[in-house]
Amino acid sequence: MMFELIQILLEQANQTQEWGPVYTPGTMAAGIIIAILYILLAFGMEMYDRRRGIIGCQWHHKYIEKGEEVKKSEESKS
Amino acid sequence: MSAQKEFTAIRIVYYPEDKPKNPVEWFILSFQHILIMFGATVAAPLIIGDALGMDPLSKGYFVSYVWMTMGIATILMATFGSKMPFIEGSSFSYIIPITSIGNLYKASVGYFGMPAVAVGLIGGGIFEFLVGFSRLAGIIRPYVTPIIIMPVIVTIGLSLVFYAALLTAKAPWLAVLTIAIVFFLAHFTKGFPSYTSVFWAAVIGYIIGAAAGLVDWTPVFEAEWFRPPTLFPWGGYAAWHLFVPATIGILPGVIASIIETIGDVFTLAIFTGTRYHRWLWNRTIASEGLGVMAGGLLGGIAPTTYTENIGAVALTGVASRYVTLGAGVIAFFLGMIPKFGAVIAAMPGAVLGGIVFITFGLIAMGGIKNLEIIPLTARNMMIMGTALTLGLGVPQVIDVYGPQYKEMLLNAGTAGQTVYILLTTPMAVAFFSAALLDYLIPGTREERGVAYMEELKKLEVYAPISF
Repeated sequence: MMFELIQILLEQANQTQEWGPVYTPGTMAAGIIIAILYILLAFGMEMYDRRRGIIGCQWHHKYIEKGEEVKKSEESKS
Repeated sequence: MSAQKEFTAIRIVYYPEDKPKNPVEWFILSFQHILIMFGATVAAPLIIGDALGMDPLSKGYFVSYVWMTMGIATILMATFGSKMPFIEGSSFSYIIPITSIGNLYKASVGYFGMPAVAVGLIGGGIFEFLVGFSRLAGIIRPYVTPIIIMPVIVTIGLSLVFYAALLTAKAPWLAVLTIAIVFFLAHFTKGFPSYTSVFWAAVIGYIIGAAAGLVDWTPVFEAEWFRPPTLFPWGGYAAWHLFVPATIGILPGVIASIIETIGDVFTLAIFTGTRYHRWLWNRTIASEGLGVMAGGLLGGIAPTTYTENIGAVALTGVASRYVTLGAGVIAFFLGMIPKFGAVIAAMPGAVLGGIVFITFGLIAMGGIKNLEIIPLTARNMMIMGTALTLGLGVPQVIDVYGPQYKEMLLNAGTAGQTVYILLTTPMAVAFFSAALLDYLIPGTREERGVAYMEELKKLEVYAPISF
């Protein structure tokens, strides 16, 4: 698919339009806020997971290896 | 075979929860991932930009937005997502949906149709997030047997070989030299040079390529120093009335990307010795959905887990999520500092080609590793072999040798486009053909790997949380 596309696109390369993106102080400020919100979401979830005992992708190993039954949360009982 | 068996396929230097020893080492390890993902991550927006008729200036902005999106998606994957060492790069599965939507609406919404693409990506991202968040992905996991997964992973590795060949074509000698440097450092040195072999091979290859006149410095001098993230830089708020049709148009890309991600989760679980848990699927797909939404909000395109970087994990043994987190931060700044990006973009293609020749091969071997948990009977060999060859062959039938099928499908609306995208995505073809054959052809539970999967599922009762 990629090679086919490149072939077509090389043929279309000259058909360009003079239009750039829209930059205003408002959209830039909003963009920065969105980026910050995403970062806060990422680290907020990390903190929340740590509080629940989820540390990294191998968190469930420790329960399996110790062989101890961990109290199940309501959502995993369903 | 006991599901308790650890089947880490590689020598691990840093496990997912290990942090690099010092900041310099951390930066080099993260930067190594950026070097590997660079080519494909830049190629996708350039292809889409050309298809939508963007001028060079707009394409430059577009590439920056894509880097910011990939940075955010990678940071999310290491923290909000499955916390596996995934790198998120721009997805090739979305090229057709995005160009179709853009071309369809560019006359009515302007800006190359990107406002419609933005709202479509937000809708597609919400869909993918819900697939993960609702735990739907994890529910189907027990039914995806090792017989289905093996050809998908091998196809992921082998279908990308043509991309490596394309990169290498200009200076094959430089690719051979790069491969030799990686092998030498990885196997004849110990410690730091060994697990940063890709970085040093890229640096040495870059210097040699520059001395041989293979580097064009013009884009580096022309690139800007700073470009901030911007909400709807293509005017996305102008196209909210197209939310439903644009979302439907994006869905084929979302589906293909989810299938690719499923294969990648399995591969990385094998490489890092992580127990293959349904939680990994739910979180990876939900996090990727949020990344797709970021693409819509910040003017980029959709991210997907990058197979090249999984190969890098296997090659270097560095499976730390803190390293990929660092790569996400670097990717975000690459978007904000285009001059930095231009320096990496100037790297000779053959250097990257040499590196990915090794990493793609390692991915294929990760798939073959599945043969340890299923017996190699005539039934299994036929199913996996046929799914593998169909995965590699069917996209060629549609794209290269059968233009009439391609035309027919692309003219048949969204349903036709969905079929086209799935039939030209090697891992989707391998996935569906292996699943169909595995469920149609009679086989014992042990033969199909179902007994193994059930044993794994029993262990999951100890896991307290599934999202």
